[in-house]
Amino acid sequence: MNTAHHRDTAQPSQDHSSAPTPDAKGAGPLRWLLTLLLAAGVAAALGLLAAALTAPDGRWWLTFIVFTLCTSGPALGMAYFLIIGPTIIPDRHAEQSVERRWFEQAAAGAATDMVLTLGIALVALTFTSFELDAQPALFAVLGLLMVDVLVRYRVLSGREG
Amino acid sequence: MDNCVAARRAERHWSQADLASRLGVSRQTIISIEKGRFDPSLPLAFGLAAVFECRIEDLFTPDGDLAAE
Repeated sequence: MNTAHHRDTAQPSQDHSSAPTPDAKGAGPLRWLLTLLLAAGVAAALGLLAAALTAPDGRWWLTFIVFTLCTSGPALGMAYFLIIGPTIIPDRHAEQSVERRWFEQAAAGAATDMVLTLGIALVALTFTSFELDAQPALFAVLGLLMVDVLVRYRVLSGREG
Repeated sequence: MDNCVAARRAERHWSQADLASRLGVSRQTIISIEKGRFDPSLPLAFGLAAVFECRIEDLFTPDGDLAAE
């Protein structure tokens, strides 16, 4: 779905009959470079912090590498949000696209599925006294929700596309 | 809702991509509208009417109960 373009290089079209401006070529190489540098810096800082606080003697470099790699994704997302994000404006035509409607229907259906699933699981846990660890359970809920939206979107686009 | 978007587009020898570009929507949106599987929003319907230089009711006709009324 093409739902956004960058403020740096494109202006929104002013009326429906005119051709829209093409999508942006990007936010500029400088912003992308800053984004990568910030992400790398934050990930390395978190890796150092973890190594200093938790690493056993002589293994600090392993902790540093693992934590740096694991936090590089979220750090990149944060840097993108802070540096590239302000240059992006929503596409004013996005709400009129059929893809948007498919996504909204998929998300609404997935939300209903989630309420039903969690409700049934809660009742089952109550009656069986079975206990679940919160961390894997929440991870499963999040994964199930994303897969549900994806499958529903694919089904809708196949049926109505 | 029935529509004659495909016929109007063909009269002008526009591709679906051309029309999508003029309206600022995806080509898939035009495909779904022409197949009658997606009723466009009011702003998009006005956009279509403006592009084809006609009224909305010249492009879209209600079906079912609305048409009977």
